[in-house]
Amino acid sequence: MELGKEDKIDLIKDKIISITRHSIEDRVRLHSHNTAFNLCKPDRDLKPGQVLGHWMSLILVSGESLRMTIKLHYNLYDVKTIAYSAYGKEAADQLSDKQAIDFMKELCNLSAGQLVKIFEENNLPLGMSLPLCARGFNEIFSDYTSAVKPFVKFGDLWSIKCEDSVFMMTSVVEILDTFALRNILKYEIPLATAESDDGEMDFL
Amino acid sequence: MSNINQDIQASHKILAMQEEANEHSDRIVDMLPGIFVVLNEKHEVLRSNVAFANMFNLKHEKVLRLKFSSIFKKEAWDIFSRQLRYLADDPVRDIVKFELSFDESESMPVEHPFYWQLSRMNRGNGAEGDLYTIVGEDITLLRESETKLLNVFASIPLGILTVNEDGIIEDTYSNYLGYLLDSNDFKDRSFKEVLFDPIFQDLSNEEKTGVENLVACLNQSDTFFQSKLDTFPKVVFFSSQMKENQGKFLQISYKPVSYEGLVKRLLVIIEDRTSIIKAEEDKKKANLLEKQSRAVYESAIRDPLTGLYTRLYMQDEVKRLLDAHDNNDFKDASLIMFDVDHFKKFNDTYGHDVGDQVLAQIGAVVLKQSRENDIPVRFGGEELMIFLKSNCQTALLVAERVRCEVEKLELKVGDKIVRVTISGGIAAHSKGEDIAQLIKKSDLKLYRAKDEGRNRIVVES
Repeated sequence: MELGKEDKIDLIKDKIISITRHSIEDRVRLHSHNTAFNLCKPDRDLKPGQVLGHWMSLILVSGESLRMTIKLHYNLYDVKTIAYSAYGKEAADQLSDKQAIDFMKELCNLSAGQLVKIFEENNLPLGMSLPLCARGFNEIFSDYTSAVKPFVKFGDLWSIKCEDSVFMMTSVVEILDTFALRNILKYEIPLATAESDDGEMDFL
Repeated sequence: MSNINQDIQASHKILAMQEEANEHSDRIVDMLPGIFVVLNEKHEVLRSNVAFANMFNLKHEKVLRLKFSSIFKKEAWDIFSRQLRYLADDPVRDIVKFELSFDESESMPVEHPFYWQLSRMNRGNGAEGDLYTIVGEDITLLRESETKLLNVFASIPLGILTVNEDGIIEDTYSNYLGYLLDSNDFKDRSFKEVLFDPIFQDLSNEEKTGVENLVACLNQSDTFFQSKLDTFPKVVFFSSQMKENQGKFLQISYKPVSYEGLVKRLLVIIEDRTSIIKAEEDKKKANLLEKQSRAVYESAIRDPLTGLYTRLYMQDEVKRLLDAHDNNDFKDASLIMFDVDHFKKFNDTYGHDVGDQVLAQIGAVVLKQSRENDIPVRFGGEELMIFLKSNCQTALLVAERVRCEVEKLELKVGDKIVRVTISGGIAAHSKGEDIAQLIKKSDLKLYRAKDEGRNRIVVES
């Protein structure tokens, strides 16, 4: 049975959400050298637009079919606990604040790179901005309002957790070309974490 | 490089710069002194400065979503949340200011008074509900300084109080005020009623107008206040009904405290000037008495006709002079004795009035020619003397100058010009001689001058 236009949009939305979540999860596992990280629902009843961490790193991926802002919300202490080994340090407190922030910006960059790669493999070319860092408080000025006209827009909020370390993630997606994005529906999310690294941490 | 790539590179530069600028601004907020927080509508902290976290021994990052109520004790939070509700419920009001202390707690071992400013913030995307900016300033040091100052005020002998824009006493700062105004009940009473009503009937019309002006100036412009300032009563005699017979002179000064150009408060300083004013009055009386006594004394020692000293003065002063000579305080002492030639005949011819005029003019000459240490005396009638701390030769020079000056005097009597002469005798004081002996010796020389034809001076050889 041929799917209706709206059903197709919902499928595309769900697919984009899944790809985005899993791409970032994949990168977090890979670069923290910790496969115990898993996607999970936020502990509290939070919604996009709320302040989710003391800091946030953000990046924009954009093309003719799609525009997406990805934000990682975090506290530096949590970042240090997953990042110190990547820097060759023995303990979290050996990492400086700047190193922790750079880690998250680079994680943002690599996650976005992973997304771009997936979309390009499905004939959906995208570009990337620089990853930026800002105070988490600035999130109160972000616009997560859902829309269907003039283009479909939606927000997403999820978290990745490993023991006491929780990272909140948000994204704002604008679907600019539904027809072109049908290609992505064919993409199957791999079950295992990528072992090879298409994007080494640049700061190391 | 393609144009698109160049555009991307330029955009990246701008983004990087903007990121740095934002972080710089955020670090400034981090370093704000006191307490700075942004709360959501659940009163959770969304943003804070570092000092706030340090104050409660928290890591800066851990402050996110801290319940702001958790830093207060229940009673204090009730007050604080009431102020927040006040701001939330009044859309016209942008800011609420108040003072509230942190009670003693684990993180704050002593009570800390804070001055708070709560303001509404842009809701942003609305996900956190209404947002509030909270600024808290620790005013502990200010309060300590105020306490020290109040202790100083309380102990100084001044009455100090503040009056609000409605003329009501807001605060008193001195224990002495109660003594000055015979009352300890000032709170919320009218300033006019406390200070001026008990004495209103005794005030002059100008002072009554001044009191009315004073009341009218409150909540008016600074300019208006200054234009009326001179009319306000500055010194009043205050006597309360309680102690009608014991009044005080109170000096009152008025210092306006303005806000946005209007006199919103008045600082009033009252000083008890009673003892000073009474001392000034006593001093005036003493000065008058002294003046009167001096006038009496002067009339006793000065001959009113000639201006020369009288015999009364001579007795004491010349005795002192001769005693000092006896004690070798100075080398020589002498006496010139003058007598107006033919003075009896002169009086008989021209009358006593003219005779008195002659004596007055001769007295003036004697005074003029006497030196600072000489003692010129009217001995009696037309006999004039000069006691000198000099030998006879010097005395002769003085005497000759007097004689010559008198000889030149011209007295107009009717159409006639009348002249007079004087004769003089000089004697030196020998140690051990008293006044009478010295006068007798001079008198002998005077007789000789008269015998030898008058208008001359004869000196003891």
